[in-house]
Amino acid sequence: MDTKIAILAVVLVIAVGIGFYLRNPQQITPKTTVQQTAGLEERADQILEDELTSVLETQDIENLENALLVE
Amino acid sequence: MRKILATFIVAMLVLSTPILAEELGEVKSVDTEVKAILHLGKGLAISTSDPTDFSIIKAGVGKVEFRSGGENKELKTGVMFVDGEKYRIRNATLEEGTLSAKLYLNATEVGSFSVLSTQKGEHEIWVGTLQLNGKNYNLYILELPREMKSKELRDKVAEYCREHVEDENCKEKIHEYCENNPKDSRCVALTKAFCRDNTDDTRCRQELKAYCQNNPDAAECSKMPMVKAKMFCEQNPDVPRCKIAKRVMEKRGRQ
Repeated sequence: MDTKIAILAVVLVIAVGIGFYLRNPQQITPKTTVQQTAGLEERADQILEDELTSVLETQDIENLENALLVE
Repeated sequence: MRKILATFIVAMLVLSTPILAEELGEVKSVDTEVKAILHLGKGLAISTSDPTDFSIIKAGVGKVEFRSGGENKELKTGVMFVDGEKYRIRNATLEEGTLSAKLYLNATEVGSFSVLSTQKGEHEIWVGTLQLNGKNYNLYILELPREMKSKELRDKVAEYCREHVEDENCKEKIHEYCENNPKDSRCVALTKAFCRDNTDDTRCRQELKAYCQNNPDAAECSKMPMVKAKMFCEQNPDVPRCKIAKRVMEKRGRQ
């Protein structure tokens, strides 16, 4: 029984060691960086498109409000 | 033996899941911030050969910053809608009051534009030329008002105060106060101070507009694109966008 516990402990230590090694990715693979992230240009385009849509909608609402005030 | 193997597998799975997620493309969270909105507008592109041939234009150009884990990347990008068809704006530059860029449809370059900032009454109007799919247009785009939002005000005040600790308005946590009290005189002063060096940003132009109408000779107003453009055109009157701008200004003068 003691042997089994000892083996289990050794296996756990090895597993934890490998796990922590993997948690430090720059040691095994290049770090995932924002520079490498794909699709950033598309995301930037979308952000600006949303800005444009938002400001156009705001303007439309203001124009409508002004028209209603005139009425 | 089975118990040992099972324990090993479970331990490995628990410890390596975050790594697997990253490896599979589940990139760690990326914060985005619109660093500057160079231009947001709506207008017309009118064929140089046929005035009845025109298109409705909507355009947005800006600088977006992406941050992740202490790194950042800034992209200058944008979109232009020509009668509803979407083009990507790339290689944008704003110099001497002139905004120039190339237009792409998917990955193919299909045109370019170059517009110059002018002031007509209360409005900023960008005038210039557009080349698209082999055709030439004159371009007139009205800058749309886009005020600074409270969260943006907080960020800009924080950014300014990081770089100008000597400013007496830059008290601790003033940026948090300004987020909820944008009309406070200290916050107004800090916003104006930030905007003095950031007139490329339409939000700052909006902030300074009223001030510059009343103080056209103020130093910060000389940095506004329409003022830079005017100076550029005085020195380069034969540039096509300057000729168009001149016509716009002359018509304004006759009103």
